[in-house]
This record gives sequence, C-alpha cells and structure tokens, in this order.
Amino acid sequence: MGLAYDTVLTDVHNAATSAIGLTAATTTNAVGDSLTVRSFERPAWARLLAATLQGSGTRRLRITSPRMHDNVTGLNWQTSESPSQFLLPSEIGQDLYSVDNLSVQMDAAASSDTISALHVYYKDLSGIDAQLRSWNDIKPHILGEKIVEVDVTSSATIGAWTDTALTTTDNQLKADFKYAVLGFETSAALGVMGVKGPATGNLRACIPGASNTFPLSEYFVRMSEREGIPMIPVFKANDRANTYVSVAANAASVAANVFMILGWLDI
Amino acid sequence: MRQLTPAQRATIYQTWPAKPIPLSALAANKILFGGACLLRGWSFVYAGGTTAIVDIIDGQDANGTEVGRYQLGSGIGATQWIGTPGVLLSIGLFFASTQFPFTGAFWVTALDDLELDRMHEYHEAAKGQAPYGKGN
Repeated sequence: MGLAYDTVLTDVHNAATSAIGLTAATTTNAVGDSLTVRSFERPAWARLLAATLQGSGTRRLRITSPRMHDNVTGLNWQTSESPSQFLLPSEIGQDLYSVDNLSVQMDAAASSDTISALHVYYKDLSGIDAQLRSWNDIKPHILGEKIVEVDVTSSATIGAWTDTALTTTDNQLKADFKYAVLGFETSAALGVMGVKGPATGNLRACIPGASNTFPLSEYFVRMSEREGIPMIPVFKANDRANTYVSVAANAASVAANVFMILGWLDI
Repeated sequence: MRQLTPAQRATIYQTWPAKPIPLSALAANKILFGGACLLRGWSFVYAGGTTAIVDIIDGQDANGTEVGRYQLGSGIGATQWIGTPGVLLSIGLFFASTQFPFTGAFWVTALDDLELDRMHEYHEAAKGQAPYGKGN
C-alpha cells in the first residue's frame, strides 16, 4: 500500500507599501512543490486534510478547483492568529482528483509575505510507500520517549523549504531501532515544520508551526485518530543521515530550535 | 468502481452536460482544468488594450498541443459551442495569451472514472431505472 503524506508550500510576496487583496496577488510554489494533485488510480483516494496559513495580521486563504464545490470562491478561511491551521472535517477532508490543478489565493499585508501549506494525504500513491502507522499499531511497542533537538534556520528566500539533517544538533538515536514521530515543538514561530526522509518517501510530512487545534507535541497521533488513517511517520535510526527536519516561515532566516517528539519502538 | 461498457461510455459522452470553468478576470496563462476532458465550447472576452493572440492548448503548459487560436482586439470576445462529444483533451485545458485580462468561461466534461461513474448513476436514475448495482 503506497501511503503518502505530502505538504505543498505556496507563497505570496508583496513588495508594495500597501496591502494586496486575495484575487490580485500572485502565488508562487516552493521549488519541487506543485498544486497539481499527484497522479493516483481509483479506488485509491487523496484528501486535503488541513491547510496552514502564516502571514502578517489577519490573512485570508482560498483554495478552488473546477472539481470542488465551485471554482469561484471554493474553500475560504481567514486567520485569527498566525500561524493558523484550518482543519477540514474529520474522516472526509476534501476529496482531491488525480492530476487536478488546485488554485491557491492569499492576501498579504504591506511589504510582507504570506505563506500557506496544504496537507495532502494519499491512500495509494504509485512509487511512494511512506512508513505511516496508526496510534494503536505503535502504542504497545513504545519502549520510551526521545526528544531530538534540531536547530534550524528557515530559508533566506521566503516561501522556500529548508531541510536540516536530523543529526545536526543531537545524534543519540540507537542503531537498528525504529522511532515514531509523534509530533514537534519549536522555540520560535514557524509556518510549518515536519520530517522528510526515506520513511516518508522523501515527501514532507509537516505540521503547523503553531496550532489552535491540538497539541503539536502529539500532532500526528491526534490527526491519525481524528482521521482514522495511519499518519504517524516511523523511521529507522539507521536512516538518520538522510532524514531531515523541514521548515518554512513567512519571514526570512527565522532561527528556531525544533524538537522532534519521538517514540522509541521495539519493532 | 463499476466497469462501464463502451456503449455506456459513449452514451454518457453524448448526453452529459458540460461544466463551466470560469476565467475570473484571468491575468496570466493558466491551467483551467487538469486531467483528460472533453472540451465542449467557450465564451470569453478580452478586456486589454493591445491585440491579443489566444492559444487554447491540450496540455499543462504552453508546450502542449494546439487546439485553437484567436486574435482578438480590445473588447472583442469569442464564443464557440462545439457540442457533443466535443474535442478530446488528453492532458488538460491550458489557456495562454500574449495579453490579458480575460473574463468568461470554458465548458468541459471531465473524463476520469469517478466522474463517469457518477454520470452513469445519474443517467440511469433520470431514465427511471435503478442505478446499476443498486437493487438490480
């Protein structure tokens, strides 16, 4: 089963000294990310589970597609805090269609950037086999907890990802053991943060940098239970050199100490 | 997912209505519809000043297959109803122009299995028959 959990990053850059509206702004995808839904075959499915938005002030996000309810206003949100996460209804999300092209619109305050991240889950994506588990699958196998600090600096180019090696700050994971990524914490406000590596099919499995929904420290556990699908990334310590913490922010070069909340497993 | 016969698919292609894809004051080249579809027509107006060359393309960018081309002056529009089955776009509908903006819409019918399945169900219900696989 080719499970996949991907995070698509988009940015609006407003260089003007006045705010820019929702439909007037030009959005730019992060390098390597695309608003075209990855190809999959029925009866597999893909869903938009959530969207994260970070900007200056109360910002708006709109997602449309000719395959959604309508192609005019579609899904609309406005933040009450930044970053904000917007969850779609549990267990159903928003169905996505293979190779459909999504349109993302955001507004931005004067001389600022707004970034958004779409959190997309694929039931069976050809060529990807992410190691995602449900909480009940791993709970009985947890030997203990390990919190790994990874000191990061977001990209100097707003709207771009920065991938920092898992071993950058702390390298104590035990060889041949597996670890479940339960969640994250951060010392500074980021837009999104997550994990990328062989265990995720080299896609970015990210969570919001701050959340008004539930604790980030067990984000993947809560989302997995909420959605009724396996969402907890499990990686082998032996892959530490190729496993990264991915972050993005709506300001350049944001320094943060990110903490990966890991369950040390006996499987 | 039920398997539709070629005859059932042909019936759907011939009778199912198209869906409008609005341009919404389009200001740049854009994929209007991603994925295979039938192009049934369009109606759009050019609101810029300089003459625009419009390309309707089967693709995800301007390098796709040319489907049609217009040369439009300021305030001039184009309306074309192709009808059924329409023009097959194998990749998607991409709109490109040398100038902008445009308002109006294209009319397409999606061709993926899920959409066909749904159309078949509605089609059978409209004919007064129970949809295939339900109560039959």
